[in-house]
Amino acid sequence: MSVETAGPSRAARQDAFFQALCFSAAMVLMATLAGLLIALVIGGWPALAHFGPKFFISAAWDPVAEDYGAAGPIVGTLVTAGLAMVMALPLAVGIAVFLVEFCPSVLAKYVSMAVELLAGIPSIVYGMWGLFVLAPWFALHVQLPLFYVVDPDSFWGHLFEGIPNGANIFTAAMILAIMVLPYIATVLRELLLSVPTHVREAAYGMGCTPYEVVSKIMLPYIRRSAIGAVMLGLGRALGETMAVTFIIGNSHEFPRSLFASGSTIASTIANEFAEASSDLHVSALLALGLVLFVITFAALVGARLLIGREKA
Amino acid sequence: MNFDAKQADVGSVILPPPMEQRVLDVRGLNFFYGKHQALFGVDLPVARGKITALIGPSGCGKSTLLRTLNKIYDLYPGQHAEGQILFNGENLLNPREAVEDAPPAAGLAINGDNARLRARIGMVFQRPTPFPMSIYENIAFGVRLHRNVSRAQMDEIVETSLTRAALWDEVKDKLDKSGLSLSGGQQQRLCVARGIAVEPEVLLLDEPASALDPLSTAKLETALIELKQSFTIVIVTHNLQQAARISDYTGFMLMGKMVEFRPSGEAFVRPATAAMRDYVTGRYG
Repeated sequence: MSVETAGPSRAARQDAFFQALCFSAAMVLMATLAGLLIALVIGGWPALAHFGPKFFISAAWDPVAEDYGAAGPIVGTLVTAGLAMVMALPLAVGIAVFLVEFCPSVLAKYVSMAVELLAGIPSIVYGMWGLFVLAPWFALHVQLPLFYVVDPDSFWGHLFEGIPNGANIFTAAMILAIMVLPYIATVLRELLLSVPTHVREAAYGMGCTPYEVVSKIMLPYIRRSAIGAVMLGLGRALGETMAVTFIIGNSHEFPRSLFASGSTIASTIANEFAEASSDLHVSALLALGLVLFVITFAALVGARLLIGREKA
Repeated sequence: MNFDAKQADVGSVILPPPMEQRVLDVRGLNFFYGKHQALFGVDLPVARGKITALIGPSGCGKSTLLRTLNKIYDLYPGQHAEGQILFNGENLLNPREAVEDAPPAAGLAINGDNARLRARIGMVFQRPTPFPMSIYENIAFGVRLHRNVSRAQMDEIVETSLTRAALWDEVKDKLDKSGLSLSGGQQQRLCVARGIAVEPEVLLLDEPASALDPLSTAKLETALIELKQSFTIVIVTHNLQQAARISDYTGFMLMGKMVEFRPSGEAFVRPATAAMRDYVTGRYG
């Protein structure tokens, strides 16, 4: 047996085996994704075929009459997630800028730790806190006062209409905002740190104040990637289930005001899947799952496109 | 490169410009990166309206010295300077200190205001640093920080600055394009234009040509010689020919010390110290 001839061929065989191993690992992932999508399409098809486009625009959700329309949960999902982003983004920018630009290094360690901790808390804990603490507080200190102050026939009256129990779309969005905050803040912090030192120094070298450096140079510098960070947070907010289910009120009514009870796609599925008796009901829930899949996928693809363009 | 202690202790030869000409006057400056001392009792007199070049091997402290002049090191908590940096007779490191035998005061006191200081002592960095905005805005941005000007005045400032930085002809038709779309050499001249648009008294340049090709370097040098009419320039360079070509005074640094400071003509023709002679004749890199 000659080592000279055996050596290279063994290396080549090893190489081919290693490549195949990596390839199959990647393919398993792709197959899972494809399988998931196919299962959702097949499962949801009866409902989609039965109701047609009406499934997406009807707000009826009546398991007794077997009449299902997804407009309520779809709008609930988009509105809570969107509101959550509006609330979380300014805070996240503030946290990231503080950590990168102004925070003494001793304090930075603890603030970063708190941010990471916030990301690590299980969502059901947020849900319980939302239901037992936030909702009653919100009902007593925000909804009731508004109820007495605002003219019910005015625009504001309609916006703030709802049973003052604190379980509504707005408080659900608040919980979501707290949950996505650490993700957005962390990514924004990384992005701010990625601004080249010489650009930052050049801005200070022009006689900019720290505020001017951050607002006019650093934030514009990361603008596009920052949209990507927001989208990642949005993706998480769209799919969040447990915390939202606790506090959104779980009403299938089409949400007509900010303080109305509502539902999201995820909360509807979580609430009803175990009790769905008819095939059409199950199919409608699977179709909802498909819709959530598509919305989340669109948000993530959007994020990827925006981030990718910046790096190029 | 390997200097032994004997060569580092050659003593120093300083032939400074007259006191009344010194817009900047560094005296006995010690500088620290944390616990590491990078400058040891450095003197640097900078004459108004002249080009002062700082040369020396890598790591000798010339960039560090330049970065003390507009206190940009202040951005980093671990770095600090001791000694005197006199700007128009005012000690930037201790504004309240009464300085004996100081150059004459001029203009508003800085009094610890870094933004005001950097408006009057501009800086161009080794790598081009255009901001993520249009060519026009790159220049207008800095001007707007310090002054209110009308649109027409701003147009004029932009054109003048770009002309003086020898860039106007190349960009006049695309002022609304991103500053990042320019070539490296153009970007660097944009940074010069941006620096002079706010009309500082002193312009600091940290190896501005090190990333540029010879043609861009020549254009930059031409611009700098023109600019000497209105600004005081301090330039750090590795390029000895460049220092000899454009500078009026040259400071040679070695291991954190100012070894030789003299008018450039004499310094390059007849170096007074053995260390500088070795350096300019290429015996040490």
